[in-house]
Amino acid sequence: MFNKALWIKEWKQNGLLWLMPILAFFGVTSTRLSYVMDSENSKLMNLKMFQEQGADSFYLATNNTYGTIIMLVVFLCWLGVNQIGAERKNLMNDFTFSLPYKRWEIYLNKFTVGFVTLAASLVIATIIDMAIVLFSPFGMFFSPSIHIYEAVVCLSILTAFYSSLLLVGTMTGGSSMQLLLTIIFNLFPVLFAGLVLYFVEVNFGAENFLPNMDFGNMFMMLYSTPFLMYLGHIYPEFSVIPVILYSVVCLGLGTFLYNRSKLENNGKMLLFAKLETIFHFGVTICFALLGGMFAVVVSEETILHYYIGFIIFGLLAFFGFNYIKKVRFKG
Amino acid sequence: MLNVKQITKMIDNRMILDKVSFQVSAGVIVGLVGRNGTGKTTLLRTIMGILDPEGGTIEFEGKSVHNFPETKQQMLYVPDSPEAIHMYTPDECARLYQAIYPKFDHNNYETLMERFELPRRKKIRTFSKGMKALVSLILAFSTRVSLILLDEPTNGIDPIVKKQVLSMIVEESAERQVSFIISTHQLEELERIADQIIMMKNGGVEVQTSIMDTEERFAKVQVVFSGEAPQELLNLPRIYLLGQVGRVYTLLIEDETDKTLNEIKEVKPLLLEKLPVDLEDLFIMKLGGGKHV
Amino acid sequence: MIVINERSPSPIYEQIIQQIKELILRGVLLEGEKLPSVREMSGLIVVNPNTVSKAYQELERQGVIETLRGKGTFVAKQQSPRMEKERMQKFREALKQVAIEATYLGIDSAQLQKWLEEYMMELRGGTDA
Repeated sequence: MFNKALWIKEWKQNGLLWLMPILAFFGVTSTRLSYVMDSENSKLMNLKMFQEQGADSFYLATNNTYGTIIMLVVFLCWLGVNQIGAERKNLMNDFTFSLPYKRWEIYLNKFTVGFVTLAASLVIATIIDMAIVLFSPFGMFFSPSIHIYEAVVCLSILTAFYSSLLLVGTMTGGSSMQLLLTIIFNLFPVLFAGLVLYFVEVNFGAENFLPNMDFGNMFMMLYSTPFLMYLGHIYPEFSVIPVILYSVVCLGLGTFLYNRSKLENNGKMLLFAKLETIFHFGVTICFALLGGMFAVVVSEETILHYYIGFIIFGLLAFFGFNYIKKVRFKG
Repeated sequence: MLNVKQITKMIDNRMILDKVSFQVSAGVIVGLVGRNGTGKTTLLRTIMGILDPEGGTIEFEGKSVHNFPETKQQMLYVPDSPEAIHMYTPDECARLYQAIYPKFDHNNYETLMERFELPRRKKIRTFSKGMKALVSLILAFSTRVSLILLDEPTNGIDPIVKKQVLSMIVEESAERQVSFIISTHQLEELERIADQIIMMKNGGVEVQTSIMDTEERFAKVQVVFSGEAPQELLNLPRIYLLGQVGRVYTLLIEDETDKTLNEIKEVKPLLLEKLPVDLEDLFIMKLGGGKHV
Repeated sequence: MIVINERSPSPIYEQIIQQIKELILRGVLLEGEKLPSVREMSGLIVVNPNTVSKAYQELERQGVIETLRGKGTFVAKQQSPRMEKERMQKFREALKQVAIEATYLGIDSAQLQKWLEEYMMELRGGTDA
């Protein structure tokens, strides 16, 4: 996990890693700083308001976990793609794989470089954040556990996203595919749920659907990626265990697949021919459902138009996929 | 030292390598030739563990390269374009190699860089083609590995640098018993510096021979026959027609050269002249369309 | 010093042997003078070191050069050409081939002798100077 040569290589290859602590700093501290550097009048007013509402209200108002995660997710998108997808062109993959290291070692080192930088960035940012609060007029509200909680939330959600990004990278043949599929993979559950619900509604009517399903549970199931759960503001019920589990599973699967990389497929959409059938099936179904939805929304007629759209989009996807899977992209 | 055993590789359902087998001992320079697209680069990449073969194994000092990647501490692959290290300066690359290859000799690296007057702190991407070739080799030699795979090392390089590159290769082979597998189209170069030639055709090893053997096993002659050219003679499988201009036949004879030459002399040709056998002739005979008279 | 001709029908290692012998005969390489090592020579003329090594070994076998352990390879004392039976035989074989070729080319023995004299003079001229 901590191989000197591989770390030198990763740091050189991912030259922008130094940006992470800076981004973390801005993310974690920005709202709090804005309160602290406000005019004297505003500060006094806010102070009074928070004292009335209780200590926790300060933290709630100045919380920027959302912003931090968004900013760092964008950065991690670049990092993960640069580590795996970008290597798939320019003979870089050849160079990496010709080194005297097991492939899983290479993969894990890539992960740890990203993870350690992320963790260190958040820790430093949090410490600075704590100092800012302590030495500000709002110091009386200071609660270290909340800072730590926020940092843990950020770290775990970001790590989960990062590990899923790397995992998708082991399955795709290039940068753009890796990014595209990761975004789909992380947002997929809720979008797919929406499409399925629409299908059910159109075919069986909404009234039939709602009472029969435990709505809350189903949605919890469908919000299955940590990132999504976070976006959906479900985090008050946040528990770090499933998120860590998610990261571990992604990491394990990614290591397994990276070991079996088929570099001759670099540049294609998918690295493993065996995955193609599953993808083909999935893509066709999704497009079919999408087509049906479009048809109804556009024409405002119901079942017949739904199925016309369904079939047309389905066929398009079916044959389109056959064509795309043979193409080798440059990026 | 290196044992390639029955390597089979398929890409996009095409058989690129078909049960390729050969061995390379220490201090031997092997030339890998074949027409474009016969899988030479695929073979090199498979040897380095970049690609996984469908069948067969690659063994270095008896250990499978795939299962024991540490064996690659003794192997290095230099592709025809050093794109992978473009963003590094030679010094940075040397630092990386030092961490990877336990025997890396920094003094040697510095000496060679000075000898060839190459900048050590400029990004390799800014180098000219000749400089890139030289710096790739300097870094490769400094790792002190025992097997170096070179893909078109002199492609697009001016004659002066080319001579320097080739000199470096033979000197390194002599001094440190380093083995080379050189994939190239430069047959004249191989004739001088290679010990063995492996010719690939359709993904398989068509010919594997040592240069010395070729000089003994093959003969090339120019013949002008008096009267009709004797078909039964020319149809012999060991006689290959390299070319014909008017009544002048250029023939390549494989094995039993003395006996064949005597047979030709018996029909009292007007002209019979012995020419040096080039690797190019061999290449055309073995890997060409298969022209017999 | 040595130029390898790729177009020559003679194999490279034989060219090395011949040219070193010629250089010694012409006095370019003197007795006791140090030859480049196998490694240096192979780098100079860009030839496989095993080929160079084979040439050196043959030269040493013929007594033309000698290797002193730890010091290098030197031009041996060239007093009178050693009359090895084997070398004589090889030489006569080569001569025979020349005779056969000459016949085919329509060169008569008088012409052959004339050319031989020319070449001998050239070489002798070198050692005298």
